[in-house]
Amino acid sequence: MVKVGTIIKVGVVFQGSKIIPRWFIWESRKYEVRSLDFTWEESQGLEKIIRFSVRDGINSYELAYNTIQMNWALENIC
Amino acid sequence: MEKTILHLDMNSFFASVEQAANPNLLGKPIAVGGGIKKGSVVAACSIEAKAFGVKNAMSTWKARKLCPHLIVVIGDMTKYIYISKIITKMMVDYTDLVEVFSIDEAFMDITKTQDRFGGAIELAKDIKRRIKERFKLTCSIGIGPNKLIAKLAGELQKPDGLVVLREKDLPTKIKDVQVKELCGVGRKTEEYLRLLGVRTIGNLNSYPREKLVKSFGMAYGEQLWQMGQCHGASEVRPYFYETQAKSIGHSYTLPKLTSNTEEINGYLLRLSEQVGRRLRRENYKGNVVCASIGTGDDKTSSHQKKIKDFINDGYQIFKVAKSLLAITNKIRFVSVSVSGLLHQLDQISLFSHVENQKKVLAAVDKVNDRFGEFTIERAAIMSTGLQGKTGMVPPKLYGLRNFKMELRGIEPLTSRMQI
Ligand SMILES: [Mg+2]
Repeated sequence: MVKVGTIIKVGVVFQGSKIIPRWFIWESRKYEVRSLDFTWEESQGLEKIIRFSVRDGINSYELAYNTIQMNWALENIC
Repeated sequence: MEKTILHLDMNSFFASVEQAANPNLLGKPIAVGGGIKKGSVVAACSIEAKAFGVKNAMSTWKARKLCPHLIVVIGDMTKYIYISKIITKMMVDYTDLVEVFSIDEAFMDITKTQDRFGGAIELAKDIKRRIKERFKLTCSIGIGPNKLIAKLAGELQKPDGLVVLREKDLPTKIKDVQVKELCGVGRKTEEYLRLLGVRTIGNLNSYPREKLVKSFGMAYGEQLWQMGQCHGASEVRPYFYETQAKSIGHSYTLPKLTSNTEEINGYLLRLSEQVGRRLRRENYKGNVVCASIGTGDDKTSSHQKKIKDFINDGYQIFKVAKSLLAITNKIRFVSVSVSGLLHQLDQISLFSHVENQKKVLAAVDKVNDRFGEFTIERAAIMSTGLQGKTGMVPPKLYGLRNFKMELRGIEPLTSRMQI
C-alpha cells in the first residue's frame, strides 16, 4: 500500500443519494474507475468523510470525499 | 421459558474487510497489522493465510517465514468500526437486546421477537444475507439457550456457519467437543483439565463438582462445573446501556488521619490500579480523572482533569490523580474515579506496543481474578512499604467502597457512599 494523500480532480455521478466516482486525474494522468468495491464513512470532528475503494482494472485506490470542504483526495494506492 | 440467544461472529473480520474493499486481494493470503516494521504483529489474517499456519497475534516476521507470499495490509480501524456499527444497527432491527461483545462479535436476545421473523433460523439467515449483500462479508451465527452455548455453537461451524443448539440437545450433541472451545477456558485451564482427564465437554459434564472446586478454587471451579452443565448467563445487556456516560471509581477510608504524602500516594496508587482494573474488565477507557481527599467528615475536596488520551491503565490514572492533589492537612479519605468513558469498541489499537501493554495488563488481571486482589502489583506499590500486613491488605476490612454512578451533572465524589 502506498500512501498518497493529495487533493485530486474526480468525475462523479450522483445517482439518487449514491455517489459514484467515474474517473480521477492524478499527476496529469486520467484513471477510469472500472469498479466501486466498498464505501464507508468517517467523522473527523464535524467533518464527515466518505471513503471509496475503487479499481481501474489494475490497482485498487482509496478515494475520500470531504463533505464539508467538498474536496476529493486520493488517499492510498493498494 | 427457554431463552433464545444468538451469537454473531464475523469471520476473519479485518482481513475479510480488506479483501472486500480490494478484490485484488481475494483468495490471497493476507495479514492485517501495523505494517512490516520490526516488532509488529498480525492483528488478523485471511483464511488463505491461516492455511499456511499464520495466526492472529503472531509477529509479522514469523508469519512471513511461514508464508513468503503473505501480503501485509496496514489496518484501518475507522473502516472496521464503521462496518461494525452498521452491522450492530442491522441487528437492532430484530431486537433491542443487542450486546456488543467485541468489534466483530455480538449477542442478541431474540426470545420474544423471533416469531415475527419466521423463527430463529430464518432471522439468522436474514442477518447473514444482509451483511453479505451490504459488505460482501460472512459471519458465523450460533443459537442457544444462553450466551455460553450460543457462542460455542458459533464456533462449531466456520466460516459462514449457522448452528442451533436447543436445551434438549445438551450436552449430548456437544459431548465430544473439546473443552477449550468454551468461552472462559484458556490454554492454562485446558492443560490443567487434561491432567485431570477432562478433554471434552462430555468429560467436564460428568466430572464431580467438589473436585473441580478443590482444583480450581471456589469461584472458578464452580464456574467450570456450571459450564460443564451447559449453564451460562443469558442476560444480554443492550448496547445503549454501554454508551451511557458514567464514571467508575473507588474510595478508601484510612485507618487513621495522616498527612504523610508517601502513604497517601500509596493508597492513591492502589485505588487507581483498582479503577484501571474495573475499566479493563468492563471494556472502558476514560479521559477525565477525578481525585478527592477528605478528613472523613463532610469536608471533601475534589479536583478533576480532562486529559488528551483515553486511558484504563492504573499507573497512568495514578499519575494524573497525584498531580491533582495537594496534601496540606491531615486526611482520612481518598478516592479516585475516571469518567468520560468510551466503550473499548471505539478504542481498539492496531499498534503493537499498545497491544503488548494491553496483553500484560490482561494477564495481570487474570492472575488477580484467580488469586485475589493485589497478587501482582506494580513495583511502585512495593516501594511505598504499604504492601503486606502494614497497610491495605485486605482493603475491604477498612471500608473500601466501590461505586459507579452516572454523572448527569452531579459531582460524584463530594458525598461518600455508605455500605
Ligand atoms: Mg471473528
